[in-house]
Amino acid sequence: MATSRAERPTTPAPVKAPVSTPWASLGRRQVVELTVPGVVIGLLAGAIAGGVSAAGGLALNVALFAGVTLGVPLALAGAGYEILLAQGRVPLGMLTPVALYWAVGFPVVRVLHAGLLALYAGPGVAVPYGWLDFVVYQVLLSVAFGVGYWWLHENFAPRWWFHLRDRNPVANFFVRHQLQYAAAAEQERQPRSGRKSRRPR
Amino acid sequence: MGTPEGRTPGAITVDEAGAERSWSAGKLPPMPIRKLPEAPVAAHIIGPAMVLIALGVGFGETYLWPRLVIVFGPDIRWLFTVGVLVQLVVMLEMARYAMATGESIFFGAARVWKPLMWLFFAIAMLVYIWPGHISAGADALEEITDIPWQASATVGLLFIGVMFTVVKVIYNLIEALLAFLVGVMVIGSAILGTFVGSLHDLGVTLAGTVRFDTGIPDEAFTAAFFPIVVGALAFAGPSGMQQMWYTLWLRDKGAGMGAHTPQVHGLLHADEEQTIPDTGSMFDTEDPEEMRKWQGWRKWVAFDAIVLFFGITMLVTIIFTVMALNAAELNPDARSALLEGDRDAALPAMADAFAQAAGIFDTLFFIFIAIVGWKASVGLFDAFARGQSDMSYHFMPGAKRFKMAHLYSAYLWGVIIFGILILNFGPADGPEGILDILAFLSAFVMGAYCLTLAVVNNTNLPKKIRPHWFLTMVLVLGGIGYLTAIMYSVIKYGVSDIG
Repeated sequence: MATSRAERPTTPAPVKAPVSTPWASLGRRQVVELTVPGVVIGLLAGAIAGGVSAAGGLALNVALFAGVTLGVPLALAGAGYEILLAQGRVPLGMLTPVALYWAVGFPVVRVLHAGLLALYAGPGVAVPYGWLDFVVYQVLLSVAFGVGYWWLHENFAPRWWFHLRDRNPVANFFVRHQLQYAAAAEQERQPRSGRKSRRPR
Repeated sequence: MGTPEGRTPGAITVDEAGAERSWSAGKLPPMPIRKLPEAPVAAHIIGPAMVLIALGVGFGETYLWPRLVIVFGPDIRWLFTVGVLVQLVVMLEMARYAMATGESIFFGAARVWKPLMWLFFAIAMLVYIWPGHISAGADALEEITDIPWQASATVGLLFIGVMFTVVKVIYNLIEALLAFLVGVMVIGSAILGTFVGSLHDLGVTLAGTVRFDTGIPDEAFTAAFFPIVVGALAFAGPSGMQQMWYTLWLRDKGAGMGAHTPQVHGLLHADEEQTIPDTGSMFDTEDPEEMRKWQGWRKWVAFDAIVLFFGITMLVTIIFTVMALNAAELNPDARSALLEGDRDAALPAMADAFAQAAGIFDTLFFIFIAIVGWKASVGLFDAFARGQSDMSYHFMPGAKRFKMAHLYSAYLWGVIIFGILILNFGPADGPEGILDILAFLSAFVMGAYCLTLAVVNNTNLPKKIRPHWFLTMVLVLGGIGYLTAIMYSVIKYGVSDIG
């Protein structure tokens, strides 16, 4: 019987916080590079909420206002998360810290957004059920945003770090960490043929 | 996380006489005993659940359940929780077989009784060649762009075909593409929800989700609504054959013993395809080290199933239900369209309600629905071609003359060309005369696979890794439940169209 596929290195282990990353050695440009995943996801969320509003028939200035006032604060908050990650203050790859971060960050951004929108278009549009109702509701909805953020981050940030690895020591640290599992899997797949054991019944 | 495709043969084990050890299951050739790969250390790493979410979170979650809540009130949502919990158990049990053997559930069914597998093959051919699922997303696109839905659906189908033809390893593309689309879906639903929902609506929706004491309203037991309730229950999470295809994605991801089977290549890379083994393989369940690794895989898939599949499915449905409640309050037209069950009218009416709420979100809503429709189509076409080619390759006489990539492409392009013809010249959901049969089969297959899975996992696997009796009971009761509900709907009310 021909077989042709060995065990594949599928995933790395999570980095347990706190860890010692090469954060202190980073220049400003390198820090900015590391914030890209969070900024992009934040802007993507802003684009979903505001960018498409132009296609919905709103005046361009209003559409831009809606997109920018949500997208930019979310991008900044996303950058903040990436910096905490790079500093080793939050563990890499785990859902709970992301959800907790956005449980605070998302409502703050939405309050800011709604406040600006209220000034621009009136409170009936921004917070039709009142501020207390609004804030509690945003906190609950932040779980969904946090899960979406984590999902996109887990899938796409490692590709960005791989791209940066030669010029950014923290990105290289993350990539090396991910490769640790690959190495472990490589060791694991060394053939142990000839080993005798009982039939698995 | 990408999955590198370069592999070496998995290690085998031999007995005292030097013969290759194997595990016999059913009447098909035995599986060789090989080493189980190390499970991902990080249990949270995203697995193929994302594909199931991409397929499963569709119109059931975004339309059927919001509609039922409008009709019967939020207290009926406990039925959704039950439906998703049954699907959660099904998912974990599908994963048990796929990870322990590297075989699909179709192969597992063939080990029990080959005609059973051919039954699933035939149902897939009958139910999934109709391109109805892509037309709903294309309809939504037409609402915002005025591009005729036939044109965008045709282009969408061709795009999917080309994409799966030129790519080297199809699963990697599926994973990256659907990861992005599911991420957008989750973030998009959160953003939508924050603008058009209210704390009160969210509160009653959440309470209804866990109120198991409220029962089913009497109005549900009518010809008009009983089939819809059954349909909504069946479409809570993955419906039809989606759970069966999950075993194929797990294998391509390299989960458990699936790592010993080559991945499916696109047609342009068929020459690079590695030799496909005649059967799956089994690990040594008497070896504590192997059992340690097995527990690692179970932990990995449990995270995939519980946190991602269950969590995201519940999340999206809750948000859409909140939006529907809000839409019904804001726009009487939305309420009456939802009550009348006219999906073509209900979606625009909901969009109008959102436009009233925030002025801009009707467009966003349609874009969102278009994404939901298209991502489901991407997954369904891949799944159909993957499942049919797997069964054909292993069990159709003479099929092994071809590579798996050839068979995959034949089914893929077959269903795409047929779909384009039907979209432009025929009934997208299938011929009028057999619509009821198709609807019946898509619900029937869910009952059938629950029972099949219970038998497969309790006969084809070594005792140490067979499911707990409670899980087997859930599968059996789930299977009987699906079959009873659909049969009752047909016999009592004469209605089999539960969608």
